[in-house]
Amino acid sequence: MVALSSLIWCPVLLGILSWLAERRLRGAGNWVTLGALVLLLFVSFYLGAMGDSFVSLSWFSRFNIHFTLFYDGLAQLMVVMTLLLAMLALLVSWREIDRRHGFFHFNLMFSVAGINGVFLAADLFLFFLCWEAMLLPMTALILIWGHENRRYAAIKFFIFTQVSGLLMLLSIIALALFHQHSQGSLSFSLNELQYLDLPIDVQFWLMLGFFIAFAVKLPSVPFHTWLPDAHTQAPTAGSVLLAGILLKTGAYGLIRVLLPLFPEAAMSFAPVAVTLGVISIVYGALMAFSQTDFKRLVAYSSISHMGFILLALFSWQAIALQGAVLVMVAHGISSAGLFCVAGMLQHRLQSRELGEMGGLWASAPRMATVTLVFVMAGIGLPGLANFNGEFLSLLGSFAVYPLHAVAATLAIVGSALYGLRLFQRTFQGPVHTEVEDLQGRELLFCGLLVLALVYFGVQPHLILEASAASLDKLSALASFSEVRP
Amino acid sequence: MSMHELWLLSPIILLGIGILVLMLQTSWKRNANLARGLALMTLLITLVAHLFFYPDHSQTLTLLFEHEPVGGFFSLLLLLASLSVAFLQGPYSGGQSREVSEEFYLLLLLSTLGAMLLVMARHVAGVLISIELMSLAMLAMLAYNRQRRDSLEGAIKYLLLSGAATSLMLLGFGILYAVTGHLLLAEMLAVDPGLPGKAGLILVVAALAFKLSLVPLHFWTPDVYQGAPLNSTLLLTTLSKAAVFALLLKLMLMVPQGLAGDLTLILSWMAIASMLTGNWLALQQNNLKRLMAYSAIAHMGYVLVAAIIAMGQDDDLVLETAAYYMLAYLIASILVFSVLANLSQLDAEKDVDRTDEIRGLFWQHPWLAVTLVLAFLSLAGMPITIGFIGKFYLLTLAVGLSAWWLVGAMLVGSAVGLYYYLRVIFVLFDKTDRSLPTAKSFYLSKIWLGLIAISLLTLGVLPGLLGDQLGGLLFAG
Repeated sequence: MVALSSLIWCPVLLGILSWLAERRLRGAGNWVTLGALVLLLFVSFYLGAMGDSFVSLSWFSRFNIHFTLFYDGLAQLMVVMTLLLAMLALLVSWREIDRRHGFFHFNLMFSVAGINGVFLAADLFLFFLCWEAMLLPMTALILIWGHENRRYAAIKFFIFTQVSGLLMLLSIIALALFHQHSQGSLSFSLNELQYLDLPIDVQFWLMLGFFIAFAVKLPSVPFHTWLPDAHTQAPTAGSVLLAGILLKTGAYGLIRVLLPLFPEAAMSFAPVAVTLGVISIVYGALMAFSQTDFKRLVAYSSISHMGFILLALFSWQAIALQGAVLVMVAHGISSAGLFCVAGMLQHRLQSRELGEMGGLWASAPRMATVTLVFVMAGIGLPGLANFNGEFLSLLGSFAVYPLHAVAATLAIVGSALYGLRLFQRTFQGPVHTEVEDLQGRELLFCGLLVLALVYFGVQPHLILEASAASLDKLSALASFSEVRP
Repeated sequence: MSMHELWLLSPIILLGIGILVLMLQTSWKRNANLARGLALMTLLITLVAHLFFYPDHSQTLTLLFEHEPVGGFFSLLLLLASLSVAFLQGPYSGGQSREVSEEFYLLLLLSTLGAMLLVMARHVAGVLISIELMSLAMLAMLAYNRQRRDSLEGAIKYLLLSGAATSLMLLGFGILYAVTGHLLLAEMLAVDPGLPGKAGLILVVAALAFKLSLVPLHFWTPDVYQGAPLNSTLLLTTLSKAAVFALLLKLMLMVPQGLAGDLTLILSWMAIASMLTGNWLALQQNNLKRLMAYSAIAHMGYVLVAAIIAMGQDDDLVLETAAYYMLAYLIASILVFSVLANLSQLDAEKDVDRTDEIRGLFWQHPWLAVTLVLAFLSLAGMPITIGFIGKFYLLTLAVGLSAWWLVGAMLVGSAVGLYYYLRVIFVLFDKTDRSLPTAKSFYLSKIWLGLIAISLLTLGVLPGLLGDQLGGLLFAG
């Protein structure tokens, strides 16, 4: 199934194509990129319709490294989400990008390629390669098209992720060497490494290497400080990709790599991880409440929401795992929506300061309505997608960590506070300034986002069914390693 | 000496003939273009001859030299470096330089000859002759632009210190000879030579460490790098480092058990100190040549890890690691200096080497800037470049032997290194209104550089292309 690998190399080629197209004809790049993303979406659905698929090509035989891809329901869910959010990123920056259009499209497509690689890789070397490669275009997006303080944000983002990635690389190499020790040959295959019998203390250190890398990406307190800067300084397209997809690669890594490889160590580490999750939830909410910058506020709220994923995954209950996946999708949609609104406001007002907004409802009622839906989704209003995710996460984790679950539940009150404050400061109150309301293209994608939130709010089982097979495997692993507090 | 041995020696002989022809041409009629053509032709013919007679087993050629795979692979690296310098000199000197141009190519060929002999040496005399041939020719190249004060200062500095290092090496070999009574390297180190012998070996290693600019023998590096014309700096940072490292690696493979313990300790400290100091001092630099000097110190620290592990560890991976890492370092260095050389003029007061001077390069000369970005990413060890594969080899080696101190220093060094490489990369994307002139079009040079840049990406994305073959290239089979 070479078609599967096209999800990785096609975006790069099409990105170059759209770069060239933009050079020949101003504005053509937008359409080429859009066409490319639609094409890739069809490919991913086509592949998904054929069931689980697997491809393995020899790549670097000196180290027994293979180009191995694995495509199942969960991977498909993430790939489709990546493509859709990339489309959103493209639509929202259709006219916003003011320089170097061709190069922008190339970077957008290159990051899609890297992210797809992370979601598909079934070989740890490939996983790491894509993990790091997606950094490059993302840093370029922040650096070239970002806002006033972009250099600082870009360098911080890059160094945080790269250094934590190095720790993961060490763990990967050590794992492969352990495999050589016990089985006679190096192996980077995720599948083979699962059956490796490691002493618990070794497991613990190796797990820590992976955990730090994933916790930085997620991000979890105390590794979160890159995120507010990166999100705030990135152009809207960059923020959408960062919040919508990039953060989920951390969660995906936990589900796909860390938990299956080190079940026992993960279990013994769970109390710490769960505590970090709850701290992230509370801390993110508190920090979000005290922000005056629209994007920064949303960025901190992301930290808070990602805390639920950490809490859910490490409590390792079937129901909590489902909750985590739901949060991944729902947060992808709602935060991407909020960043779009932030981008559109910034484009109109040249400011992200909440103090300079206010009373916008009068001039832009449609924008206010969709923002209200996004904010409500973030708060966890029943009927919108986020509620299901957070509810299942809390339900599952309550069974094992009741105290943590209670603390997290109380923090949801905090999310209502910052969410409502955000909405109030921008759209309500005395009329401070006037903006143009949503027009054609903007109305289209905002409407679709709202629809998606409502749809997955009432029909969450679609996501759950897609990811069921992968999660069942994890739940089965959990029953083997009963190290419960 | 049999006919067969003469054939095996043919790359060296051809290189020598090329030097003679170039010398005759220069004394008959001065012509920079002709000299460049001759030098390139000589190097290419040497390369072809070397590939044709690529060693698949070890064979002695006279008392002084031997024809064996490790030296063979490093000779390839040396020719890569020399060819790049020869290709670059055209755009850099602009064809019509105030300085005489022909001698540069002559010195380049002489230096290459010395380096190629050095990696083939098996006898103390062979080592000394070839290392001096390489260094003296290079010395003249370091001072090539006599109008520049810095250039002269750097060359004098290098002359004095390099002379001191050579005398240390002589003394060291002298002591080893006095203790063991042998002058062949392998016999000299065959048995544990006791305490005086240990002192001798350490002197020799110190001299090599000077050439590799390992901490604490690194102080000359930044000044010499900054002063010398770009092309000479490139030769210094590639040719001389690769050749000397090959010798060090060979010596390490021979070190007897009794000496290995202490030497491992000393070299480990040097490696850790080089990685940390090199990267730390590079942080402060705004001058790209100085930055590359400190980065070279750090990278020599990384690759020294392979040499340390080579002692007492009979593992195929060690040699492969050293080879791959050296190749990665060479490719990246060549690209960095070549971009700078394309922006600079030999006749100018100074080279373009401050980070301010390349601000916004991406918007004016995208290809040059992309090359520079790739080179720096490779030096930083980012995936999809060859530098990452080199780092991967090295980490695998170090983790496999549980050399945690070295691994730790490598991690800290990489993290610090990332910052200053990124800083330079980011400068390339800044806005600027200054226009940067580039050298006139030298298509051959550009094609050559394009090939190297493509190989940087190709070997980074498809490491198996070379990695799977390295075993066959490095081991007598």
